[in-house]
Amino acid sequence: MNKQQGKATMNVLALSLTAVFALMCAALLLMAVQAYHAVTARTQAATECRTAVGYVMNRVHAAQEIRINTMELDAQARCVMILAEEIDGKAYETRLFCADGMLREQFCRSDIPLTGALDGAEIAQLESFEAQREDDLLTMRFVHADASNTVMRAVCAQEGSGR
Amino acid sequence: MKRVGSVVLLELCIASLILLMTGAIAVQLFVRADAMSRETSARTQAMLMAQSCAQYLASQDDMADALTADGYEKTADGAFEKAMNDEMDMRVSVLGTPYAGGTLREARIEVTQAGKTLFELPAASYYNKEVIHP
Repeated sequence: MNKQQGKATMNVLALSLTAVFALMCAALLLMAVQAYHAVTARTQAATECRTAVGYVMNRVHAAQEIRINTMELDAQARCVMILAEEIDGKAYETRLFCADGMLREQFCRSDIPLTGALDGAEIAQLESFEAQREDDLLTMRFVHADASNTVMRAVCAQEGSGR
Repeated sequence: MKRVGSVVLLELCIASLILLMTGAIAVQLFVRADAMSRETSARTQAMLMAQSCAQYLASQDDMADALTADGYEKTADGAFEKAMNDEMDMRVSVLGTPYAGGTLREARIEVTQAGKTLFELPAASYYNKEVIHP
């Protein structure tokens, strides 16, 4: 009886250890997946944020003339930043706006109207984009896919400012 | 039979111990990776905030007045401070150096989080034919 009891105890102990081993394996795997997911998501969000903001800032700094318009695109009012320039005597526009969760850009001659929100080329993930201009200071608000937002200000180039 | 059972039990114990040690190392690595990722994200935000502040200052005639109007508070040492989001603070030190032909205005923009400097950005604007009188 004692021998049998001892054997049963050994079996239970072995089984318990196996269960603990399996549980620890599962917990470690779960934690690894969660940590990897969190790190990747955060890195992705930071990259998207940098891409969208950096792209618009570079375009603004390189622009000859900047206008901010609100346009009705696909039955929704959207803020469109228009960067005007002249190439070989012809007027061209770069239109930057946000639609369908993406920052979009359309470059074309200024006499061609922007008709649909999906006309532009996709640049980066962005939920919303707003801009307003006060003298030579441009204030832009970017709302990212993770609902965080970035407010950026930029000086628009002005001739004869003496700076 | 009993001997075989003991060996299996010992083997399981050793395997669990090894897994425990591996787990401890892995947890440390995950925590470090997470902290690095958070810091990178915070540095990105800090860099964008400092860049935005530098652009704002470049558009204004008087840096000190502009900072006050933007909600910054002047500290005892003459710098300007403002609390931002994610427990970040902006600190801007402004100084103007007069030259014969104008004034060089310099600002040191510092973004900190919980007392730790995340990003520093020096900014300068030269104002032609304008001289600051002390």
